Amino acid sequence: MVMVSQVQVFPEGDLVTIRINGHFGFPVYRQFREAYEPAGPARQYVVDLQATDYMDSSALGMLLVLRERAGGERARIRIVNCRPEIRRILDIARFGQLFQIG
Amino acid sequence: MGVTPVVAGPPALRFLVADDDAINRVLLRALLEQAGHAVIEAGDGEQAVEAFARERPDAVLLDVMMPGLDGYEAARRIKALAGECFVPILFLTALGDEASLQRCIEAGGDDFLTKPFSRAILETRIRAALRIRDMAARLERQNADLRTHQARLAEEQRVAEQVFSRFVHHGCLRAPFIRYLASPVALFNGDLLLAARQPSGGLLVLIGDFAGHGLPAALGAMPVAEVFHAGAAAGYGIGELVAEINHRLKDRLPTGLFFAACLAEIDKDGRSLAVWNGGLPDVLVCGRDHPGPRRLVSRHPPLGVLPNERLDRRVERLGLGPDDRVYLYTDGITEARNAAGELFGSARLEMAVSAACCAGAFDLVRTALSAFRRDTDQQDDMTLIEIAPGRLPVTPFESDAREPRVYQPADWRVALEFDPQTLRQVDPLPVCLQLVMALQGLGEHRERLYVILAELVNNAIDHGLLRLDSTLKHRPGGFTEYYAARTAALAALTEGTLRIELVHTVHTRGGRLTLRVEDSGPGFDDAWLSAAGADAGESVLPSGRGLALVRTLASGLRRSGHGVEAVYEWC
Repeated sequence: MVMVSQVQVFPEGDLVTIRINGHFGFPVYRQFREAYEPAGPARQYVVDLQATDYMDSSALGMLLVLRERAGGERARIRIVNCRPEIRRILDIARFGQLFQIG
Repeated sequence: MGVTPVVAGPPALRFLVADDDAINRVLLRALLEQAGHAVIEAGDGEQAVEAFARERPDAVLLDVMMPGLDGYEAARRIKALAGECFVPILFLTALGDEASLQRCIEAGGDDFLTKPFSRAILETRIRAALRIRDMAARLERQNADLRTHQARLAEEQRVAEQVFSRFVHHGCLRAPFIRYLASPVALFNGDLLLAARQPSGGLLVLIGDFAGHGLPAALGAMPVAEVFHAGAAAGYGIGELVAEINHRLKDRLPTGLFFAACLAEIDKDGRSLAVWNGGLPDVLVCGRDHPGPRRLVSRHPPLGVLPNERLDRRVERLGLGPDDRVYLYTDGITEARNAAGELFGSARLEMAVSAACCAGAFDLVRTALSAFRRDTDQQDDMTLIEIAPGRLPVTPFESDAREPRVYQPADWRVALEFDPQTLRQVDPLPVCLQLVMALQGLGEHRERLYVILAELVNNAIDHGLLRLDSTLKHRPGGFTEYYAARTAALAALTEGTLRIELVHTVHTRGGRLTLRVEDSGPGFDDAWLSAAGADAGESVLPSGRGLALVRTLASGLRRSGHGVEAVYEWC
């Protein structure tokens, strides 16, 4: 079976919701980047992982790049709807210190 | 008069025309020469093969029915002679049946012309065949480029790997108290495993996993290994190493490339474990008293993510029993998959670790892992290390592989004073040791000097400035309690001074280094100093044992004002 990973974007004013379907990893790198540009501290982001069934370390890297593009320490990014396995990956990497999770 | 060749036409080519009928040959020669090409003639198959080998024409027109070697066989031999180079062969045949035409192609022909044929048909077919030839030539050129490129890449990678392995040498991983498995999926491993002894005899281990693998990961591994080995040799602890590695990586790696890593430090007696875990799975500690593993979970984001101002370099400590085992591993182990796509998982790993208890689970885990995976492809780098701290050799004096540098003995004196704020930020031991190395060399004396200085300095800080009770260390679990008390006391310290004076003088054939350590507190306890001296070998107190060790290394140890003075002579 071929799984097609997909990134969906729902912009509402300054709030951008990015939903990742399937595997959150290197194959969606370009789509994910296109989803948040043009980035800056004026925009808020919600990364919705409800439909994400697998996530690897390149996804963590992509989240870090989003954080930097969205203003670094001033970035406003929420990661929501994590399944337990995905939550575990974020917890081991202690991403709660960098993002608002939940 | 012949037809003038078209000015802008294709370049002149050389054709081999093989036909046993001389009239056909004349006809074909005329057609080809009119189009500006050159012609070589052959009267039978044998001659055709010979002419081909001799003249290497650009294309071949071959009659099927010839005496002796027929067209099919001649085509086979010509194709074999041509090898990688594509030479179009066009069959000229009077036989129109499908089977004969099929044989033409099977014998290596690229096209066929049924006699009689018109000049227009011949030209069209030749043009088509030449187009294929040009395409084949272009492909061959590209293939050759690719082969050259590949060979160069392989050579570069071989050299890079040599350079890499010199930078990233794995230290003392082969020591008998360590067992490990490291299996890279790429030539350059995305996982990194390093181990080194500190001058004090303590053990430092770094295990980590770069986001991604291959070349980018290998590039990140080089500065990490350099900092690790230099820092370990200089006597730095994991707090300092974490800060320095993070600084380098944050500075140099692009955002998004990070290093999930865990650093572990085991003291020289194998009694205490300190861990900084940033983004790796739980460190497991198993032993007789706690078969269900104790764990040290990830408390920090990976290295290379936070700026140093935000980096928390605090470590967690556990006391160790003599038969405890410490396990560190990357997620390649727990995320190894079997043929059904299931994960090996942390439960399987912990079960093996608990089952083996103090016998050591390394073989059990390795067997369980390979039984689970069978021959599924490896997805990620996998690294696992088991340390038996109870087996750390007591002697810290392992010879350093590097050539020691020694300067001519000289007279010099350095005095340093540390206030509480500096003591919280900097470990004075590596600073002093580096000064001695810079001023006098003495690389081969580094470990001995470290042990002497460490005893004196730790005593001055712990008892002189922080007024800690050293008997705390001797109770079960006391090590952890002691370190917690030490950290709290140091954080709260507002006044006091630690003074270190290093005096070097020329002495007979070598030099004499006097190390004087003084604190603004009550200073050294005379009774303690003399007790250690009275019974150098058999002292029952571990702290007394430390001082006894100093006595064996130093040629003199005595009270000096508010402090203590050790003399070290070398030649």
